[in-house]
Amino acid sequence: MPMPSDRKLAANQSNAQKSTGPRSKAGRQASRRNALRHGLAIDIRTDPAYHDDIEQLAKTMSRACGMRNVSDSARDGAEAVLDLLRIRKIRASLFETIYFADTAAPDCLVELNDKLAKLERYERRAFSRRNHALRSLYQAPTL
Amino acid sequence: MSRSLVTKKSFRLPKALEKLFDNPPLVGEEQREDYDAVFLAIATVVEPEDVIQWINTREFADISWELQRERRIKVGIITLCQRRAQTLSGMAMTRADFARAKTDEANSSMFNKRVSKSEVKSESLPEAYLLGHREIDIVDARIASYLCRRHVVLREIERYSESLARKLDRAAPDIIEGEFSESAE
Repeated sequence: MPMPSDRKLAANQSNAQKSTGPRSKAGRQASRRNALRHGLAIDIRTDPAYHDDIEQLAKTMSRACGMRNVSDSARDGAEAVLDLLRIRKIRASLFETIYFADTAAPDCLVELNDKLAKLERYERRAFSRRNHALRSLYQAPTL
Repeated sequence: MSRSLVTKKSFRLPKALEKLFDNPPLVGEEQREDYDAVFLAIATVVEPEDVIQWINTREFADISWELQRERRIKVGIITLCQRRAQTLSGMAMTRADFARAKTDEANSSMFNKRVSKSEVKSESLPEAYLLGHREIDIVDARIASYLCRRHVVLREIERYSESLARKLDRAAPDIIEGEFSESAE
């Protein structure tokens, strides 16, 4: 494929700057939800917004199991518990914006199911992490 | 203002969990009071005594809540499909016509108006299942997944109680011995 000329590239870029987004209803519908990315691919432990909550919960869980120091299992468990809460909030917002906004919209269910399926992958992983961590926490030989 | 479980004297959430569990993710017309009632009913049975048990209880309540939501959505889908099926038959349209109409904006809008006015009749149920089987199957799969997860949490609650009981059992002779020697002194 031939490369566009510099003049054409500049014209394209300048036109793109003036763009007001999609015009058709379908295009607008699609772009309306561009910002609705869940951000779950980001590990919760690297998110500073959750740091204090994770530490606090891990400390409380460790104490409940008779430990003086915060164990790795407690930290893993706390992360997974908070991850599950985060996932539930995202799911609720998906229901609100896609399903409950217009329950009679013909394709809202298809879109909702698609997004929920993606979310469930994260949830399943967090759920299994949670169970594994809690089990190793309370089965630790301390009291 | 909605009444929270946190204020109940008999079931007091540990302080560390109050903030985390304060806002259950409710949608549509779901009410905080109803959520709290479900949570309280479950907590009454489980009788959580420490943070781990509260976390498990909350997980069980959340899954139960979302399970109910999915069941309501399934009913909603079936009702919508019944209305669509009745509208199709009223307009002498086939499912293929419906699929074509969905892609056309004007047709789709006119069709949706008729659907919203349609009254649900039980005889349209088979046709409704044919129309919405894909979505119904997906919701059913989610319901099955929730049931499975809830069962796992239930097992975790049992395991934790057993583990606690075992630990207490192991600790009991030491405590009794300690008490005995203390009283002997």
